[in-house]
Amino acid sequence: MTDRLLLYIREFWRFAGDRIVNWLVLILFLLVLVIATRGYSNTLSSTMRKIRRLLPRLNALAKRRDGKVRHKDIRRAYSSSLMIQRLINAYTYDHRFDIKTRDAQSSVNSAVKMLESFMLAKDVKAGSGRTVVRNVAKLMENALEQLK
Amino acid sequence: MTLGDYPYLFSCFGARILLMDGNQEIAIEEIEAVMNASGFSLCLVIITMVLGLLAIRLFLTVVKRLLLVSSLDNALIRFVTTSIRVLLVVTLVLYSMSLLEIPLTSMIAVLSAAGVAIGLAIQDSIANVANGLIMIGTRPFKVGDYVRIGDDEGTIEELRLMNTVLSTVDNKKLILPNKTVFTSRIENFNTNPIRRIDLVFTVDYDTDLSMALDVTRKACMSVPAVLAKPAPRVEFYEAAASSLNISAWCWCATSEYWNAYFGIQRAVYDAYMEHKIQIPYDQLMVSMRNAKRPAAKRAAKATAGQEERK
Repeated sequence: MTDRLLLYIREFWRFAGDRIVNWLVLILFLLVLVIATRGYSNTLSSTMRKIRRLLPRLNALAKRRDGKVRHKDIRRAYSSSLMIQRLINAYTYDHRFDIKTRDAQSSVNSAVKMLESFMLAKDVKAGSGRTVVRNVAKLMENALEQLK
Repeated sequence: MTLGDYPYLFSCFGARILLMDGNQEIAIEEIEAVMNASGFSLCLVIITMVLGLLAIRLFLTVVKRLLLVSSLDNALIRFVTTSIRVLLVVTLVLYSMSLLEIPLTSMIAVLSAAGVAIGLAIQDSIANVANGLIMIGTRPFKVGDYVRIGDDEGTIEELRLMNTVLSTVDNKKLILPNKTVFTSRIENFNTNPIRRIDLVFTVDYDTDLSMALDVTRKACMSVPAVLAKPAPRVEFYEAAASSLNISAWCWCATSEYWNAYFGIQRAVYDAYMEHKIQIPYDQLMVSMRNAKRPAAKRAAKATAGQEERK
């Protein structure tokens, strides 16, 4: 009985071993890719980390003693906000029915739009840069609260 | 398969690891009977399906992660991953059927005919999906934009594959099929960073026009939301039936449109009150020509009557 079973197993292996090994090698290769891209899946923690890094910079800009916010500062805030927007969009992919996540996404989108409008405006009044930075900081704080 | 092949442990993508077999005696007939048993094929199909589905799942995980770091819309990513999943699963099923030696030609013919029938039945839905994909790709608007689509107006809340969701100003949700959206006239109020506000103010005919224009111009420029460049343009527009009309073209940031609109209205009104500029009601001037006054007429008749009696 045991010999017969071993015979069946051995012959099955000779019959189908190639195919099974091919599949296993393919799966192993894909597993390696999945592990290599695991950094792309930690979108929630990445989003919160980036917002926490951006907020102190925005608050410092809003409190500038000379009241001048340079275009370079707004551009840096804009690129950071774009990265946060991309991360939160990726997080929303799997959590699109969560109200808090949608609220956070909406706040980040508004912040990005506000910075974009400010950067594209041809003429701005004095002090408006600080106002924009303050409003963006409030929106990012709201987004962070919703994500917690 | 013959026993004359060199025995091997396994082969992987064409490379074979050779293993010296022992002195085990195996009956050729028994080996062939075992090999030809359908049980082997069924086991192979089951193993292939399990391993194949696992491989598909892993592959889609990698694809989804790579697409999410790109700037593609989430709806498009969902569509791409779903399409790839369906394609791979169908291929896996067909491959498994070929292992069971089921003829595929008739199967593919049936699937093709079914595809045509289903396509005809759901052609409107397919049109919505196709238009949705085009809109996601061409981006006539994005989430957060305020748009007018045909007669409907609102803020874009979500871009789905089959429909577009708008939120109206009175907080109602409008769900429009993408086919309707794509074939309608779309006005996007948020594409450009600045917008022009066109207003018309009326002053009385007795007003000093130059002073009125100057007051209007200064009032417009005093509103914080109004941009200095392009500068506001205030001109005499027309001499209407009841008033002199002054037009004011002011520019503002798109996000500040309504603040600027209401601010200008209030600033101009206050300025007119301060400078005592009259804002006229609708009025009609009537002039009577070659007509005597009724009382004088009656007096003239009475005098004529008295003279006749005398």
